[in-house]
Amino acid sequence: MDRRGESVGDRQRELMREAETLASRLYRESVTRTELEHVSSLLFYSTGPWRARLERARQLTRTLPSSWVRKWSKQMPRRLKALETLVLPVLDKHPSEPDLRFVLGWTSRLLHIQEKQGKG
Amino acid sequence: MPHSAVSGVPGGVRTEAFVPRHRILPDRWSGSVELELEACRQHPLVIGVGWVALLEDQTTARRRKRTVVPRGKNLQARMAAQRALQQAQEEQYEVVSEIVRERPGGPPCIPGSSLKGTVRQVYELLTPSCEPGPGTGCSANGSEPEVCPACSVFGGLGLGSRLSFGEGRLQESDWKRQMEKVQVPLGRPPQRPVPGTVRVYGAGPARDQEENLREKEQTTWSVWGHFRTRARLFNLSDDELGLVFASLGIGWEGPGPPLRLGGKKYHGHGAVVVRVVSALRGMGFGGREAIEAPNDWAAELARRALDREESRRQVWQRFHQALAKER
Repeated sequence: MDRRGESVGDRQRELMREAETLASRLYRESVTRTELEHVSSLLFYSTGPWRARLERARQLTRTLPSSWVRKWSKQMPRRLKALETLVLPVLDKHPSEPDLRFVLGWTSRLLHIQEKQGKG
Repeated sequence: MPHSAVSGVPGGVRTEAFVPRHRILPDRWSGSVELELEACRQHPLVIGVGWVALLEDQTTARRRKRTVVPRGKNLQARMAAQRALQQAQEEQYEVVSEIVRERPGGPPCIPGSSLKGTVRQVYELLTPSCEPGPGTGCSANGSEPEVCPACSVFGGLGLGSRLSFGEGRLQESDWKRQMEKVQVPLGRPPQRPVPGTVRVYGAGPARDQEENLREKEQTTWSVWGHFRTRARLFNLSDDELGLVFASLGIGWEGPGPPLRLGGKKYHGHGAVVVRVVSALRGMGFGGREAIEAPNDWAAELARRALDREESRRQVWQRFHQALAKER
């Protein structure tokens, strides 16, 4: 039990549901794992204090739709816009590193599975 | 994109007898070779990881800090200051393609797989080998399979490799001075390749179909300097080892780079010169013998392997001429 009287299992189930919802929404908008990796690698594969990394990830999510990355393909502007509208609220809602690691990690895996199932 | 389609050695795919991987054969080369890769500043290396990073532009960050929105009744001045602040905030960050590094925030490096893939491509040109791809290429079924020369050395489906490359580490300690942000054209899907040929990019900048210089839209990191890596060999014959050295461009004395490595090759990036720094021959049971004058030894092995078949030397020369093309 944690301070709020909520067990770790309950918390993880709640985060998992959130990851499932996010993954299916991103899949519906044709966002792939590659686009999500821009944000998650900046959060988890860069150096510096967590607060600064989170702020940079927020900034990147906002900057991507207007950056040169949108020219990579015809579908890219729509995907990056969807990434901004769907991922930015998650970054704001879960400012702690373990929670975001859990949600974005599972979102990435579930998105990959959905892509594979969609192709099959 | 300007490129040349270089065709390989003529003739169908040749198969070779299985070479054991579980014991050192005394009449073959086993051991390690230390290589130095020198990337020049004019054509630096760009090896991307596939994601982008956000860089803070220090000039605009300072400008943002200096901008003060005045208090008072002058609405126009306040609005102008507000607009300047907003613009500085937007310009403060720059999106840059990230490159391969030893660790997050650490020095850039050359992955062994990048080097191995580049060498294999040239090796496939110099030997009548298969073209590995989905549903094609050699398959090593059975206890002693027969596979093409490239799969025999570099491995294939169900078959281990007899040559591996380690990570290329930058030798200069002040590596931040060896990196530079560069503007390059965005990658586009390549044209359909001509069957039986390899697309070789020259040293010139990227051009479109009408021969105009392509717009530079992407920002990426590039790196130059001296990298060191180690190649491990296992039971390679004189001919195979010589071809590996020839594929690394050792012994090339003509114009242009001996090897081109990494991304943005279509924009002239990734020119690399390879030298053999040291070589140790494994004798089994822990015994090792150092090779004297290793670079000359490698160049001699490459020369002998190329002289064995005239068509090999011709293909090798065509490949390097294509690498040196300016247009």
